Amino acid sequence: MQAVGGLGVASIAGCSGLSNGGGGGSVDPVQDRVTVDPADIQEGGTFRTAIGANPDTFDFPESSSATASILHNLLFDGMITTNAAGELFPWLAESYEQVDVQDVSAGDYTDYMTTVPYAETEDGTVYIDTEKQIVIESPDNPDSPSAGDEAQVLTVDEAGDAVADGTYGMHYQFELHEGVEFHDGEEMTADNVVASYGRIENSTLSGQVFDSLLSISADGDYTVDLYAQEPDASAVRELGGLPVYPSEITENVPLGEMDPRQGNTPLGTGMFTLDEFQNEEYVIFAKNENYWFDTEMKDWFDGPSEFPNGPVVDEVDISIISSDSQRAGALQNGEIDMTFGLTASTLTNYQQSEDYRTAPTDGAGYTFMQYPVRVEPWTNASLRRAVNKLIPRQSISDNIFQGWESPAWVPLPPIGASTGSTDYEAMVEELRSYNEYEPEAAAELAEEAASEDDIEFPVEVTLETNSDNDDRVRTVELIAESMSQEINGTQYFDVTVNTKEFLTFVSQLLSEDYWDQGKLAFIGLSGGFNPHGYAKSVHSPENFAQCCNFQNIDFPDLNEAMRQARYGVDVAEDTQLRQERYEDIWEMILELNGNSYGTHSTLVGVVNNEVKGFNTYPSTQDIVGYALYNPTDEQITYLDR
Amino acid sequence: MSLRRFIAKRVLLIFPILFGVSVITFALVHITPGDPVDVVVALNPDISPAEEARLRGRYGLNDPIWRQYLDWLVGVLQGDFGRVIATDRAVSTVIAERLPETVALGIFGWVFAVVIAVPTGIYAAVRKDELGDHVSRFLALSGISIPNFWLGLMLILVGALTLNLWPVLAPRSPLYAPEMLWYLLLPGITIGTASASTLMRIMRSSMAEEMNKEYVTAARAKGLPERTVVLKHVLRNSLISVTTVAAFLTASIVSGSVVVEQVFGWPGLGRALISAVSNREIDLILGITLFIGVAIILANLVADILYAVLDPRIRYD
Repeated sequence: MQAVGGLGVASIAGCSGLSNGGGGGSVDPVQDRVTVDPADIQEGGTFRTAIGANPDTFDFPESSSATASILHNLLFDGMITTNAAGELFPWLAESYEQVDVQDVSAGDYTDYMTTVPYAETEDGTVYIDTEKQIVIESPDNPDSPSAGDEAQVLTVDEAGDAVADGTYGMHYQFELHEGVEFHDGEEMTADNVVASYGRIENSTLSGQVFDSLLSISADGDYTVDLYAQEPDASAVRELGGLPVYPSEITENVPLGEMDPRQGNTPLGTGMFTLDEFQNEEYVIFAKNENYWFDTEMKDWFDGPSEFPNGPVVDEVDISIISSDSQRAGALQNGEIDMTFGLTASTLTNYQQSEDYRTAPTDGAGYTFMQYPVRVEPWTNASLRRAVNKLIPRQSISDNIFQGWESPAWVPLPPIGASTGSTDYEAMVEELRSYNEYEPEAAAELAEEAASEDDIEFPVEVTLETNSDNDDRVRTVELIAESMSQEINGTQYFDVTVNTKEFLTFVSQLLSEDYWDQGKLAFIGLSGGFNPHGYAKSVHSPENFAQCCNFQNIDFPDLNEAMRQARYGVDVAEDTQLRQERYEDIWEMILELNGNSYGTHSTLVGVVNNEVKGFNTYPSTQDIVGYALYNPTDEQITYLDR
Repeated sequence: MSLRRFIAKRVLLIFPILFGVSVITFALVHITPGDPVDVVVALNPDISPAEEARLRGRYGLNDPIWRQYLDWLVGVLQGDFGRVIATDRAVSTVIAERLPETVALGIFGWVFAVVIAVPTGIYAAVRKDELGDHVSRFLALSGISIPNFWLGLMLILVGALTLNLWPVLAPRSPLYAPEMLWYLLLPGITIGTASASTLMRIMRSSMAEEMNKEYVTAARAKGLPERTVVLKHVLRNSLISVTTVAAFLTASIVSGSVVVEQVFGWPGLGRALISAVSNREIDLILGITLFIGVAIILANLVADILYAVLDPRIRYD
């Protein structure tokens, strides 16, 4: 159902969202969950909604954009799925188990590696020149290679040899349900799973999968063996939920062409089939009348026996409308049943109306401000902490977001609470002081910084954000005003706000020279259930010039701590240990303060009164599929009209 | 210069103009930060540098700008306008799909402008300096001054959200369906209002000027009814300038479609252009810009020709 429920990365929020993986959760992030009595369910009807962008492709491995993912999740299933809290459940798989974990690292694969050359593009980017999917690079490869140098790599061709010799980090085994049929009537087997994972090779998604996947193979018709490169506490979530396609697709349709615009129909095992697609206008899905799922198949299902074995709406009609206000107008005009992604003031208006229901859930992300940590005077951590104390998080939450978003007292959103902490509330209480608005403390820290380094006040700085998010622009203006205030007669910072169109801003952030421009960048990050993404995305040198380490942040101790929290036999086998290590990481992050955090996001679906049972998934990517049907939470939506 | 030579010269001028438009557009697109691969990277954060480099190589984005432009130009001369990177579709296919929607909207806006402007302009000229003239002048100035997007939003607010007579979302019927006339009304009014206002003012001043001429006085002196004087003699002569201006206004209707289509979610070329700019789809931006450029140039050419045909006294130097 949630085909990408496991991907362990984060993306820049503002135009996209992406769920990711990690352990699991136990606290339902859905605020005010509504439940449905199966006896009240009315079958049939068309659920109408709208998304903000045209799907770039229906071929899953070629895009993980939020809008495309919303559509993909109606069509495809994976071996595992998640509920709204991020707990994992076997889905196409009847069951799965972690067979074993071994203390293996990249260096242990050297014997299986081959040699390939580095090449250089005209703009000077050096890359490993091979047509094969690279699985692991040798740790001995040069740090700053030149064209013509040689790289040692393990490709998909040799990965199986390593596994055969017993060299792998983790081994998971999935037992598939028998008798599951694809949309075209073919029965799903383990070979379909293996071939579908092969479709990821050299795709846009490959970087997100092959940072963990070593190899996958079939053992008979219904058993899948999946191997991870290292002991990786996030491996099963990262790798277990990828969609499975029939032979018609894996054997006949080239990567990127499983798309009606290429003359091909997307096929999976999902609860809906693609009925009609008008490019840049609308998509219509029809209920899969032969959907394979049965609640009685699942030991974990403890809901009522009357709970349906699939969605109850006949059709899903999704318009493609880029304008938020137009989507809100269409909801008001009765042309659609649900919309999302509205500004706080619009949400409040809908909340106050008796004709609509707002369905909020803790979101999968936060806003953050990133310091130019390599440019003086921002190299001084005390100065960065001084700014942190001048961010009025509670005021931002209360006044700009009207309470829809909550202050980010810690760098971990609540949906990652159970995997990223031992006791979230206690952790927030303990670490909150780092992020309290305290001008006097800010002044002390600034003076401390000035005594350490030669800093003249006011420090002139430009604070940048994207212009096409009204709430965000207002947030930045408020932060700038707060930073520029005089404290005891001294103005410590003189802030100029600069706003740019989203893609222009992101393009600049992703360039490799943004870090030395000395600007503060304010943007949002969309992650998922995995705590690792929230720490790694904004700090890891591996993510420099990607999402979301724009300022070339590289704190060696933090890098090592992040690695120790995710990789290793100990954390792979001991959840409690992993939680403790992440708690240390959050404190380390606040102490180093390379990023300051604004608010934790809230995702709100707004529905009219004809929609019954709707609850919002924490990530945009499954806001439709989850609401319509997810038995892990006994979640179902029906239409009363 | 004969009309034939004039037309030939103008047609030949089209090519350097389009060349200039394409060079400027190409340069502007490249000055703006970001390219389609940046969009892919932003949406797929763990994409490897190697894959990013490969993607740029596949679409020629690593080549020097002059090389990229030449490749594009050679393609255009061979009838290949490039591809949309995100969806891997031919630009010509996208334009062909969207063009009928924009043409329908443009025709509706143009007809609306003429239907509104001509009778109102006549009325204002006949009632010169009376209350009706003042009201029409106020309306015309308002129509010219109000931005397209604001008028469109107000029409949606009133027509769709208050009166609930129109949908907010774009219709899904084929263009030839009768109900499309209803769906075209609000965006058509939006796109045609400024043109209607301009035309009305031209109509009014042209009529007023004609009505002061001696032949009108003579006609009245001969005892012709005022209705005959106005509609048979004055109107015919006034329409020369109105017709040429109406042809010129076609250009503003074409360019106005970019904003109006976005406001109404109308699936035409204008909306595709905005989407292409957002996604840095260089070939699509160039293709649509070129197409709009051709439309505007042709509209101006038609206006010039009409001017000469309607008034044989006019000769081109």
